[in-house]
Amino acid sequence: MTEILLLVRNRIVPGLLIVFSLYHGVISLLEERTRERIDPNPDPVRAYAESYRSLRDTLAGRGCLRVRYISDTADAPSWFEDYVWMQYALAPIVIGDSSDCRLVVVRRRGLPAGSAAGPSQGLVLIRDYDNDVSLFSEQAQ
Amino acid sequence: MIPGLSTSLLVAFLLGFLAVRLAWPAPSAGNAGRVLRGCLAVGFGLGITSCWFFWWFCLVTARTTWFGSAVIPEVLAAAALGIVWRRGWGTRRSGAAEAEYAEADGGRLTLTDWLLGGLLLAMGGCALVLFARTSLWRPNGDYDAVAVWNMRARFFALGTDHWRSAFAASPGLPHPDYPLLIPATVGRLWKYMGNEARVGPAVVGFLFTLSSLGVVSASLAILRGRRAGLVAGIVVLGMTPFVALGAAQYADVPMAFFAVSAIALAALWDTAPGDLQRGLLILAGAAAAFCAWTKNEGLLFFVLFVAVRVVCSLRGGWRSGSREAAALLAGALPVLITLAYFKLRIAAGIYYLKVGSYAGNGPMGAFLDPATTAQKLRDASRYWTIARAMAAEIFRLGGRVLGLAPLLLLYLLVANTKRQRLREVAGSVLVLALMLAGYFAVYLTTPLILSLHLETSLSRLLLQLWPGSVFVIFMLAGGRSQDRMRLQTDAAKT
Repeated sequence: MTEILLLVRNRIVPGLLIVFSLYHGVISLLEERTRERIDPNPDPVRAYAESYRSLRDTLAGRGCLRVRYISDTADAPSWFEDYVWMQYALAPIVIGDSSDCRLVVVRRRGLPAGSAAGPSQGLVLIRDYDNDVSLFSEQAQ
Repeated sequence: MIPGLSTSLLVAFLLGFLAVRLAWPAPSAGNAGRVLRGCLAVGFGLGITSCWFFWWFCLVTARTTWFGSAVIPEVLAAAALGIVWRRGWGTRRSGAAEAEYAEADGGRLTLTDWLLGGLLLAMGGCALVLFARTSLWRPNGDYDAVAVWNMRARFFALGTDHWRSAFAASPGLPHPDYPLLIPATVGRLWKYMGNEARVGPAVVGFLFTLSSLGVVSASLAILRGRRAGLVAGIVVLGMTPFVALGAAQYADVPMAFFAVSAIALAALWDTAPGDLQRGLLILAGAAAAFCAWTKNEGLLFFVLFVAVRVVCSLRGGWRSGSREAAALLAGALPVLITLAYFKLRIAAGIYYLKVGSYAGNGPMGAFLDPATTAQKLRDASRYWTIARAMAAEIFRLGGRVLGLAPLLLLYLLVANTKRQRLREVAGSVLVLALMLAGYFAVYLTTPLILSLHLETSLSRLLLQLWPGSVFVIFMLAGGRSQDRMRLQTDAAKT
């Protein structure tokens, strides 16, 4: 009886632990391959960071620490993610409701360039960027 | 880029290595001791340099943003510590402690040892491939890594002269109160590298994941024998979500590293206490404090760890308890001062605990539970929901239907756990149990919708305790030498 208990304790249960661990190690690799096939481009942040690097540099060149950000996708489910990815791309400049350099970044999905903002909102287009993003200047009062 | 990355890691490793060697000068304990000290050096080095980097921002960048003013003191500190060590201040040995450790780690390698070593290498290979593929698939990390940890690191690295903007009230900058070990570490790497290369945070995640494995395996090899260390290492890696979380660049894995380091260092002290080993307690206190500098729930771990250790040591009298507290706090103090300064002067308090902190912060409002705290506490179904979710997650963590935890518990049940072993780790068991209770209380009173909060965070919180739990269970159940001796004794009787 003692020997059976020792066999269970020293061989069988540790063996089960090892086999289970190995099994899950291999299964996780296979699941990872499947996930990559299903979604080969899961990292939108990379696209944001690369697309808006010149925008960030422009803002930094003008001494902006804080820039106003307007998005016409405020009702979209992905609005918060878009907001965070844009903040990540433009960091260390903070995006928000106000600007310290009279510049405004506007995202206008699916609309012609500059159409989501313009002189009627007191904004003058400076430049269009990729993926429906434009840089505007606030007109002097 | 690579020279900058290498230099930053080398400086951090040197600082960590020297700090660990000076605090724990005693035995080498063979290869296991070297591995343990190496892994501790990685984590402690990154922790120490993250604190220094933060203080550099607070104290120096108002006058100059020249990065050399941060690098030179680091290098000088490493050089100074190296001189102290080489002069022999860190090489005194404790004869009794060497004997204690050597007993567990001695003996020729058997076929079983080679087989287990091979299996650990195989698991390590799987984990490495999983880590690499996950990192390549999402090079910027998962959501929290982008929105919180690496976001703040970008402010440190790219906005040195206006770094406090990282804590502005903005929907795009969530959780401004989260501690800064990871952002400061990644920001420091990026400063050394001269750009915000994606390899930086991935390397940090890899180092903490690997070091967690090393601490568990090496410390168990010292305390319970080589085979216990090897099997425990295989089991740690078998929890593949833990590896994936490291690749996702979340701060839960670094916190898990510091938690298991604190527990393992305390266990080493308990096995061979003595004045020359008191540095182990200092390191344990520092490790627990680094938990708090990594994540807010790390503060809970620190308080519980120190409180339980001090209360347990009071059994030996007031003198014993006060010396234990003094050693733990001596290690923790520099980190606690850093954390306190951050919480009081930079990011006010703990965001979660501030009434209304989520309500006005953009879309977080959609995730709020309108019930008051008193209503939540009176809701019995809430207790059941949380308990059931925690039990289910523990049961299946690491697997689809059945996780590793039930097998580990089975291992514990069939083990010949002696009362002496239970006494050795009773404090650590209590700390882990109280951490679970703490998480339960957090979910009970969360301002967020309960099901959403459980779904998005429960598995990560449990994974924070995974290496520590494996360590404690193997401390209770592992160690073949006693069983072999018992078998021989029974054979002699017959």
